[in-house]
Amino acid sequence: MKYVPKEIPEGINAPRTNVVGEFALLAGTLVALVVVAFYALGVAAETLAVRLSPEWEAAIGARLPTANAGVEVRAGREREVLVALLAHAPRQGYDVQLRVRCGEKDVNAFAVPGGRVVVLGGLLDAVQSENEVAFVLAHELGHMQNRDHLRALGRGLVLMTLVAAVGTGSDAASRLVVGSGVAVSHRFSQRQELAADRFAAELVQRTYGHVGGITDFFGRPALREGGSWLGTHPGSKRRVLQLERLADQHGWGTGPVTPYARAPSLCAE
Amino acid sequence: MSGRTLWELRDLWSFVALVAVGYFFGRRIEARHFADLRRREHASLALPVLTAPRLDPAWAVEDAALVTGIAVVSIDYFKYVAASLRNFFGGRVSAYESLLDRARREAVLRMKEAAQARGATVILNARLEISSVSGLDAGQRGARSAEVLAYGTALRVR
Repeated sequence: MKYVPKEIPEGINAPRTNVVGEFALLAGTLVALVVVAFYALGVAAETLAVRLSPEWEAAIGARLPTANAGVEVRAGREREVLVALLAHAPRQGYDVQLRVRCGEKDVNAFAVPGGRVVVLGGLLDAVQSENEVAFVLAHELGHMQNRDHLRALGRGLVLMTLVAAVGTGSDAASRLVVGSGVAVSHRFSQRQELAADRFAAELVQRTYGHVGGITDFFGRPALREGGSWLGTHPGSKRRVLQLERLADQHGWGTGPVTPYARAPSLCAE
Repeated sequence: MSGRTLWELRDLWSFVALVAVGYFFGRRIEARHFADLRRREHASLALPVLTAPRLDPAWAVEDAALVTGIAVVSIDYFKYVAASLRNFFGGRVSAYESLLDRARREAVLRMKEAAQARGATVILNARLEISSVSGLDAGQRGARSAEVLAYGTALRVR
């Protein structure tokens, strides 16, 4: 038998496929599934979360690592501002406690389930008027009123469950799941921030009789944020715009702005 | 109140960047490799590679030796992600198919080139062994690459 060389046919074992198209289809399907599942489960979790009683909320809050950090503020101007706001706010099922974490230089404040408003030292240094302090505290009270931290907790649980269902969390597909889940939850979060801002403006108006100075807060270099579609918070511009529009609609005016500087005794402990 | 540092999202962007880089380089390297394979396969076409284990008693064998060819090919990050998406939905993992095709052809070519260097006229009893280097198992991280070993008996027949 004589050997006659023949060309090897191409593409039998590795047929040419549209890899980018296939990738886009699979990744798109996965992301869409996660977004739909996360959205639906998130709504369900939120529905349950807001039905939790204040006692349960306090019990959950007490277990969170953020609950007891820093020191409680029992007196002083900051506490007076909070008390004044609370007098005009709808009653919560728990006492609201003000805590400061002076050592932390982040310009941030947050609400912990169970009635704790935590303000970080960086924020106390950045604000320059009492009206801004009031707005910040009222914003956090807005989160409490809307029970946003419980909703966020519910969605966090859903995300963890989804990731656990999909895989180990280390492979690419589950990274995609986490990424798109986080993006969806940030969309929720931006909506909550805007709602808390509206609540805060109204509460400040009721307490002080005007909303002067509350948007100054967003103009401070330390606080100005570009904001992005995917961030937890909307950009400063969008927030200021919303507040201005709200004031226009309701005819809220401006009034005297009281200067503020953090009292040295606040962080003495 | 100010935006927290979003590690999750940074993770997502770095992931997208890695996939894009993987795609760009992976595709170029793969296209170059396939072109090189075609050229060398054409050049070594005259040397037959058989899986038959025995030789014809009528052949006058002047030289016989074991020849081997080993190739290790790694996937790029794009393929890794594409394959992990495939693992999720099921179906043909085309990302790995081209990888294994390249590794197999490269290994066979190296075996043939080793045989040609000895002046062999035929390779008998050719076999292929495939194994994964650095964990192709599910859940493991790190570079995934396949090793293909081709070996056979190179003969010079008069």
